Formats: sequence, structure tokens, C-alpha cells
Amino acid sequence: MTESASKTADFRKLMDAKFERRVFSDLLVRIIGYCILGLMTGLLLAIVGYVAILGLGSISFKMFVTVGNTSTGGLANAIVGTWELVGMGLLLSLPVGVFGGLYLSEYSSRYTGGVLRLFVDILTSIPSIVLGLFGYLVLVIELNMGYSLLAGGLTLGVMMIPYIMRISEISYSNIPGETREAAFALGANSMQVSLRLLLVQARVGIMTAILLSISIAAGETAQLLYTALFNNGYTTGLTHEPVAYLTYVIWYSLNQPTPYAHALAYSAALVLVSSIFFLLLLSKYIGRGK
Amino acid sequence: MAVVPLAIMVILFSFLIYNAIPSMRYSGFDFFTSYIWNPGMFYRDPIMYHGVPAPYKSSFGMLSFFVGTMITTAFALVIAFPVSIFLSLTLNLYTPRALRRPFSAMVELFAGIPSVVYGLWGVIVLEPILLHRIEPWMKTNLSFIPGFSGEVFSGAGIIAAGLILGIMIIPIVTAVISESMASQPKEFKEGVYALGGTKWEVGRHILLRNTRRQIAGGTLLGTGRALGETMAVLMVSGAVVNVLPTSIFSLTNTMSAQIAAALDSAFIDATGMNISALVELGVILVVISLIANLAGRAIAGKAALRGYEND
Amino acid sequence: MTDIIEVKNLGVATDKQQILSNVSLSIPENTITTIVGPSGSGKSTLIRTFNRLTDLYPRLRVNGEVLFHGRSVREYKVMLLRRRIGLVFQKPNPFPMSVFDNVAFGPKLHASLTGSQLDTIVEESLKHAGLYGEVKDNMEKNAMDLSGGQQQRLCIARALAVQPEVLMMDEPTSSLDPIAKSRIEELMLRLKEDYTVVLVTHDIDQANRVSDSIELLYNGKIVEYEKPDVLQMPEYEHARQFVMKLSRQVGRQSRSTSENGCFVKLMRGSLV
Ligand SMILES: Nc1ncnc2c1ncn2[C@@H]1O[C@H](COP(=O)(O)OP(=O)(O)OP(=O)(O)O)[C@@H](O)[C@H]1O
Ligand SMILES: [Mg+2]
Repeated sequence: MTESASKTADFRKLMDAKFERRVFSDLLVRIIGYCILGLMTGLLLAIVGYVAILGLGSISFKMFVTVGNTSTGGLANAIVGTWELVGMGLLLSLPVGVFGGLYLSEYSSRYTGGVLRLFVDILTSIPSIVLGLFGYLVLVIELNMGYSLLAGGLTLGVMMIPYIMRISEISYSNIPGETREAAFALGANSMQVSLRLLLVQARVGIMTAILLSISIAAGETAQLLYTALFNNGYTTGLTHEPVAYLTYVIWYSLNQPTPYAHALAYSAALVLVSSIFFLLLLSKYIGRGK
Repeated sequence: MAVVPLAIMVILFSFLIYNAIPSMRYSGFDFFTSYIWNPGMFYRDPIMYHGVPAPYKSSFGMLSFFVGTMITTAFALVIAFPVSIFLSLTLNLYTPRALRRPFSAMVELFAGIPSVVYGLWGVIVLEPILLHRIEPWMKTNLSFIPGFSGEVFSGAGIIAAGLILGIMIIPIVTAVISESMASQPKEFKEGVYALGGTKWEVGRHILLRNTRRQIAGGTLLGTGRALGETMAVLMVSGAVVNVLPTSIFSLTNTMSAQIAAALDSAFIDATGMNISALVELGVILVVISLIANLAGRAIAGKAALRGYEND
Repeated sequence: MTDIIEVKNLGVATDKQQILSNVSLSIPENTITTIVGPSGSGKSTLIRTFNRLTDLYPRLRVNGEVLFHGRSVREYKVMLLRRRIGLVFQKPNPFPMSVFDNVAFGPKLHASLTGSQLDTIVEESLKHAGLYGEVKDNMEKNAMDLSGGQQQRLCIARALAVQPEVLMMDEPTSSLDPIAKSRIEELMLRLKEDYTVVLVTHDIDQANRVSDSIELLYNGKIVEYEKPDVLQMPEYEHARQFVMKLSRQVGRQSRSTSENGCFVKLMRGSLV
């Protein structure tokens, strides 16, 4: 008894010896962490701020209403074209994503679900320039769509599928079992349950997925270079008619020698970044309950 | 509907491989060992080689692009890995609860900035700074490090591309790591605190130690992103062909940027060999980035789903 | 006997709920003080204010005083305070590492030890916790693979290894079979020699078996159950079972020592 008591007292004396050192390393990590957090905040402000300053200095109302060709004119065709392409992408990816996600969450067995998910993951792993190359080979050449809204939009859609599918799958599986059972108890058959109840319940998740995938698609360039090309005017047809889009203006006009071309690039960047941030923050706001 | 991705993938791979066959026959193994990429002379009569037609004097070797891809990606990881770890630790340990969401949202906004905008910022802001300040300084003060002595070109090149790529992949790496740290059971953390542990000790012994898998997985996912990133790299790498880097200041090029840059003129090639060679380059790029991405997802497990919200 | 911990008018609240109100009690050195009370009455919260683990949850607002050796716990460096006031959690929470590393974890944080010193501390702590015999041949076993009862004792050893002065145990026997339970009870009686023990339990019989004094916590308040008319007070209607059982047993066992036991505390001298 006394022996153990004395041992305890001996050990007790050894404790707390590293106190200062530990306080110091904690402080050091905290300081490094805050510095990096500050640096990242500064970097975001630097990038966004720079784009804002350049853009605000160059943009004019006329740019929103006149069409342009990357060195003269405005951005109207590029803004409209971006929305056309993204809309076309949604036309493909929304049904595939929403119902594919439903299948993955509700009906697939472990095995088939695993295999299908693997392919969704593979799809996200394809670099966008390779998707563009694929869109060129298959849609532009093989299916003879030419550089067009259809070719560009579908290529974007392929890229958007995984986001919508996986996020909506997650929101279906987050619906509690009781909600489903309650619906079954009312005599609903499986099809009705899925469609009505699940879609309604998961609408917030699906909405955030849509906003997110739009924001990603609107910022893409590499897929569109060789599927949509560029158009100096508006695009009205589905095939054999190239489409203008904002990211192209940013990339291409920056390489032009004239100051006005640069002004176009800056303005396009401002329009694009502010739209994307708006969409992202909106999707955060809608999904804030999660 | 869920089968659509599978179908797309099957079509994609068969098309890519089918279109790469002429190039494989024409270039053979040289494709991997040569660093000369010469489209050839389109207006001379094509030659026949191994039974496929190709432009006169054309030759296709991916080595310089492969090396450029690897170096810029490695550079990006050197930047993004420590930054993401410290960001995740800071967000999980030292940031008051009320500020955690805004800061996480901020990190996610980085992911929303389009690649071309990063490129634009790189060209206008980063390159001049690198050219006039940082690179000359590095050259005079760090030239004892191998690879740090060489000619400074234009500010574009390995450093600019690596930095921009690093900034671009920080959000995805941070999202995966931070998410898995946040899901560490509070029992472990409380256990360390109750023994008198500091926050850093919780971070070191619980957060870092128990999320090693997800850290590796998130980093691989980021690697996959960096490998395939095109536009920003195209704009700030210098997009050179036929040279291997000699120092960290060298201009460079990557596989994806080369596809984007060369496809334009490849259309003119009536033999189609230039396109086929770019497709072969694409196939190899896909294989590399698939390995990184799938390994990343497999290792990181559930936390990798955050990658879908942060691409 | 000096009080190692004194609680004065302690209150803990969130925005929505008053978890503890006006709690006052004192804990003498080298005794076993037990806090009993129904689920949700705030027992865990109470002892977590002693080592300031409540600091981890900013939404918990703490007012009033907790004194350790006569000084407010606020005045201590929190790392050192928690080293001196150990806590064994309600749910066993061994770290996902080997048995040895679990016990060595705390000492390695706090002290620069030689390998043999560390070995001795680990061994002593495991012996104290009554686990040494079961794990001595396999110290590298992952702690998560131990049985629930073994994990519980491992957590006790881990807490003891930093040589605290107070050991708080939150329902250490709730998931144990009777044999393991009585082992832990014996352990507590042994620990009393070197440490001050604070025990939280649902089990009034256990409280009576080991305690030097018993506090009853109900709805975040200390019930002065020895007062004759407490049983009749309407606010304790639902605690009546508890109160009756406590009054009866405490009354039976400690009449001799507590004729003035009209306050919170009741010493049961016979076992000391
Ligand atoms: N961090 C916290 N945030 C909000 N409420 C809390 C927190 N911790 C405890 N509470 C609330 O305080 C009340 C008391 O909880 P406590 O865990 O102290 O009870 P207990 O007496 O230990 O119960 P049990 O016997 O079931 O362990 C509960 O209503 C609980 O919801
Ligand atoms: Mg409790």
C-alpha cells in the first residue's frame, strides 16, 4: 500500500515537465494554420478581386447586348451560348442523373450498384480535354453533328451526369425509412412511392446538384474547344452551327494583341465568375439544412 | 438510366482505342521514348509506314509532355498537400464553430473558379511576379539546389503551372481530409483532452493518425485532377514542344495541354495521323488519371464523395 | 479532512435548457464520493465541469465556482488541471492503438520518460486497474479488440497513468457482468488510498457498497434527501423511488454517523 503510494508520488513528480514545450508547439501549429488560412483567404480575394477590378474597368452595358468575335463587339452571343450549352447539358444529365441516382439508391443490388457506381467514378476521372476529344470524334465527326450546340451540349452533359447522379443518390438514401413505410402503408405501389415521394423529399438535394453541375459546366472550356468551336453570332440551330461561350472569350481574347480584346476577356471573366459564385452560394444556401 | 454512364464509357473507350490504333502502328514504342513531336509536312505526299499513312517527316513522341505532366503535378502536390493538411487541422481544431462554415465555403469557392480564370490570373498577375521578383531571387539565392540554376524565361513554365495547379487542387484535397477529420468520433478527441492533451496533440494523435487513409485518398484524387487539368496549364506553362526541362525555370507542357493546343492544326492532316497520335496521348492520360482517381476513391472511401461537391 | 474539490452554486445551461442549477457540494480527499440520479439529471455534465471538459462545448454556459485545492479551476492551466483530475468516460473509449500505447499515451504527453520508467508506469497502472494479468502477454494487441469490461479497465489504467490526484468515473460498471463489476468496486476501494474517487452511477446499491458520501442529483439539482420532509415534496414525485431507496439504506447504514446529516453530504465511517 505505502509502496504503491510512494511510487505514485515519484511518478507524479515526473509529470508536467514538458508543459512549456507543448504549449509552444500547439501555438506554433495554430499560428501556421492561421497563416495558411489567411493566405488562402488573401489568395481568393486576390484572384477574385483582380478579376473584379479588371472586369469592372472594362465592362459596359453595350457588351451585354451586342454580339462579338473575341476582338471586337460584345459578349451577348457568348452569354447566350453558354446558357444554351449548359441547358443542353442538363437535358441529357438531369434525367439520367435523377433517375439513375434513384435506381442506385432504391433498386440496385449491392453488386450491380457497385459496378454502376464504379463506372460513374470512372466517368468523373476522365480529363475534360479527353471528353472533348471524344465528343469531337463521336458527335462532331461520326454522328455528323458538326461543331454545334448538340455536340457541345451533350459533351458537357456527359461531364455533368456523375455530379447529379451521385448527389441525388445521396439525398434519396438520406430519406428516413419511416417516411417510405408510411407511404407503403397507405397502399402506394413501389413506382408511385419512388416517383412522388422520393423526388419530392429529395428535391433540395437534386436542386443543389443541379446548381452545382451548372456552375461547373459553365466554367468548362476544354470539352467545348473542338465540339462547339466558336460563333461570332447567336446560335439558333442544333447541328452544324458552332456556339459561342464565355470561357472561350477569356482564353482566346487574352492572346489577342488589342486592348479591346483584353477588355472583352476581363469582362467575360467577371460575368462568368460572378454567375458561378452566385450559383454556388445559392446551392449552399438551399442545402444549408444538411 | 444508371446504365448510361457505363454505356458512355464503353463507347468512349472503344472509340478512343480504335482511333489510336494508326498512331500505335506508326510510332510503336518510340511514342513512349521519344520527346520529338513533329506534325510533319501536310502539303507533301504522305508516306506509308507499317501499313498506315502519315505526313512526310512526322514523328510523335510523348516524353516531353509526360515529363511535364509529372513534374507540374508533383509540384502541385508539394504545394497542395501541406496546405490542405494545415487547412483541415485549422478548420477542425482552431476555428470557432461559427466561422467554420464560412471558411469551408470559401475553400469550396476556390473550386468554383473556372480553369481559364486561373489561367488569366496566372498570365496577368503571377507570371510578371515570378519573372521579375521570385525567379531571379531563387536563381541567385537557391542555385546550390540541383535544378535551381538555369535561364529564367518568361515567368511561364514549371513554377507557374505547378503553383496554379496546386491552388486548383487544394479545395478537393482539403474537402476530403477535412471531412474525414470532422467525422472522427468525439469520444477519441474527448479522451485526449481529458488526459490533458492540447489541440495540436488531438490533431496529431487522433485527427492525423486516424485519417491517414483518407489523406492518401484525397491526395490521389487531387493528383487525378492535376493530371487532367488543361486550360490553366495551357495558358501558363509556355506550351513548348520538343524540349525536356533543364531546370525548374524551364518552360514546359503537359499531355492535356498538348491535346488542346495541337488538335487545331491536326485537323488539317489529311492522313489523320496527327489526330490519332493525340488520341493515343489522350488514352495514356486517361489511364494515368483513372489509376490516380480510382485508387483515391477506393482508399478514401466515403469521404471521397465530397469530391463530387468540390470538383 | 480537507476538501480537494468544492462546488459552489454551480449552474450549467444551454440556450434551451438549464442542465444544472445551484449545485453545491464538497469532495474530501481520499474518499469515494458518489453522484447518483436518474438518466439525464446532469451527472456527467456536473463532473465534466470539474476538469473543464465543458469548455469544449461553447454552447454550455457555466456559472458559479468549482474549486480545486481551494482555487477556481479557471485559474489552472487546463492541460495541467486535466492531468490532475482524471476522467473515465461513461462509454469506454480506448484509442485505436495497442494496449501499451493507450496507457503510455498520457505519460508520453506530459513527461520525458526513459523506456523503463514508461514500462513501469504502464505496468503499475494496469495492475492498479486490475487488467495487468489479462494483457501482460499481449501488450501490442489492439485495444479495440478487448472485451467491453477490459476496455473499461484499460480506460481506468489510461487515466491513472498520468498520476492524477482525483479520478472521476462515469458509470464505470454499467456494461459489466456482476463479477467484473465487483472487481471494479474493489478497485475503487483500493484506489482511495492514493486518489480521491468521484463515482457516477445509476446503481444505488453500488453507491451504498462503496461510497463515503452520496449526492443525489435530480433535474439538475442536488436533493437533500436526508431531510425528513423531502420525500413529500411534490417536485420530487418522480424521484420518490430514488429518494425512498436512498433514505432507507443510508438511514439504516449510517444512523450512527449522521445524526446531523441534514445536508447534502453523509459520511459512512464504517468502511473507511
Ligand atoms: N454539450 C451539450 N449540449 C447540449 N445539451 C447537453 C450537452 N451535454 C449535456 N446536455 C444535456 O444535459 C442534460 C444532462 O445530460 P447528462 O449527460 O449530464 O446526464 P446524465 O445524468 O449523465 O445522464 P445519464 O445517466 O443518462 O448518463 C441532458 O438533457 C443533455 O441533453
Ligand atoms: Mg451520463
